[in-house]
Amino acid sequence: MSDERGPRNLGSSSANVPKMDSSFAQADSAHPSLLPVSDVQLARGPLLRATGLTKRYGRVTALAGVDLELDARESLALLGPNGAGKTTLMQLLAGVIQPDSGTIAWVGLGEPASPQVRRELGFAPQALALYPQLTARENLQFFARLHGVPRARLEERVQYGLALADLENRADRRAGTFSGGMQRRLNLACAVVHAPRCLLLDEPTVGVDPHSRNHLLDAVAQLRDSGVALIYSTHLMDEADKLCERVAVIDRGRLLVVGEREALCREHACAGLGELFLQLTGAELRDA
Amino acid sequence: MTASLLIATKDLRLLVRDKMALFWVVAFPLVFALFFGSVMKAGVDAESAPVPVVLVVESSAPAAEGIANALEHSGLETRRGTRGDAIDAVRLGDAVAFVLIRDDARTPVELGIDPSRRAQSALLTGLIKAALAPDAEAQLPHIETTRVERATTLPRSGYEIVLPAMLIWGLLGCAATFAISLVSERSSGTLLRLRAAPISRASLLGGKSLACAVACLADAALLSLLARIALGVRIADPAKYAAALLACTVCFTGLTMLLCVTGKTEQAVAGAGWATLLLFAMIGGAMVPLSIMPSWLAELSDWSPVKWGIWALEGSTWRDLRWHELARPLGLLCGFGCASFAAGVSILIVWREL
Repeated sequence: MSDERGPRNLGSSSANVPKMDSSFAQADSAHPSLLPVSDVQLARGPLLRATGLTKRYGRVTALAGVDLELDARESLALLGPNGAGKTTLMQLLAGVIQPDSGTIAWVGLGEPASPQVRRELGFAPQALALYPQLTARENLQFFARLHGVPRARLEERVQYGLALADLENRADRRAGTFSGGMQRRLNLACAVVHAPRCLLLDEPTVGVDPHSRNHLLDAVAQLRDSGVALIYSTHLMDEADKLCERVAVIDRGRLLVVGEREALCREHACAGLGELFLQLTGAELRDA
Repeated sequence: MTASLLIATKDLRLLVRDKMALFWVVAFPLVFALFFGSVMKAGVDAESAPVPVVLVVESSAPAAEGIANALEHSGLETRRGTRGDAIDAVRLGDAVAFVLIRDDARTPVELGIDPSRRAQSALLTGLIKAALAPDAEAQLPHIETTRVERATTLPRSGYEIVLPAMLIWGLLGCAATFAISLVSERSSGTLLRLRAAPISRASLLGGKSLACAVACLADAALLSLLARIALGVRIADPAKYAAALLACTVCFTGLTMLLCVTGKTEQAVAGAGWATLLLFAMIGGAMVPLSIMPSWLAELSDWSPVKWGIWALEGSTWRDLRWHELARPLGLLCGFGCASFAAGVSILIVWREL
């Protein structure tokens, strides 16, 4: 894996995305996650170790013995067709649901359900997890306060979130009046407003127009480049290509492969991720 | 605690911005009170209302049973009881008088009645005399009259009668709104975000319950204020009234937790929740007054917290119940609320993986 993290030009709107450094640069001892990234993540090292994760819903096995590791500052794309188990895995890692068997350890922090881990994680669910009757600013303030951002830094973090979502001019409009793209951007901003060390993004670009998608990808790339570890669930290969150095392919609850993107393609003699994906998961339709 | 306050503040803000919820919580109870309050004006004159008489038979003589039967078949609404029950019933306004028949040759009959009920007193005396001496020629024994001061005051207007029902409708609106909002959090995905936040399950549930409780109290206070200013409703004992409101709040906050697990979607909870609440309201006296219910329905109403809510609120407004008399409805309301809360939270945690 390469440690070089130069900025990548992912689209024309990258200039609109605020630099993470401006908001992360001030240390705050009362809130560890607001420490500068360079201080808390000087070097790569294991951040997440999940072993033998199994989750069943009635007779349906959503996950069957999944093992996964993630280093600090690493970006991992979780690829899989619909119903593969991506969302279940993301929710397990976020501590939202409990596995039937297996263990998850966030190195140096604890289990996913512990407050220390939750303070360091930013989770954007697949659904638009916003309060439509609250304004963009109120949504950000609520989630920031809930994640322990101190009052002294609240305004700064909210401004950062608004800038990240490019919603500064609509900060005081209700989220319910926003377009799908604007809501998606706000959804991402709510996940990062407390400056997490690791981001879990579950298909964050579903149903958005190309402009908003480009903006979202730029924003995620900026976060990654600033040192935030990333697990990015998607079934869009170009997003995985642009954002993540490592790839995990999951299907029918089983992790099929995990490794560096280019190495996996070489190993399976595939021209790209799309071909690799179809080779591993099959080309038949998944309507069932 | 901070997390609970944050969640509660957010939920209250959402409630205030939801026009439909506000309609059910504030506007509908007011419309209900205005309509039924004006309709009930004609029924306020309790002097003309039929009120039962309690018969106390302390004599085993056949003649005593004969007198009792005569009174029972005289067209009066009668029921039997002990002297203590009878005095309580008259004092609380549940009976207009009691008639005690005993083994005493000089004064075989005691008539216990509220002195303010002069018309009923004369009527009853006539009926008793007719029962004692059906033969006009016979000599009448002496009837001892006992004054039983009625503890309860009468409502001054129809609005005072419907005030408790109005408040209960407001609380039902709060319970339904918050039950649906919890499911709405689940379906919109915000519950996932809350669960991924560094807050405990207790903080999350505490915040939700706190919001519901504050909304219930604020709604009841607002409706009470409007009823006082606009409809001239008086509250006999503010301390008892506050206790009744608090107990109702505990009850309906707990019930909210149980209602929110009646379905997995907003539509399911809205349907099942309102159906449950309407049933409680129907058998509890928030739609049809308990006094005109058939006896079997009146017995069934004991299972509805709405009945105890209305009873407690009436007791603190115009019935003027004593604290020990209020203890039962207050206790039942709190007990029902706590049991519902425990059941709802258990289901949320075990079956809904909260």
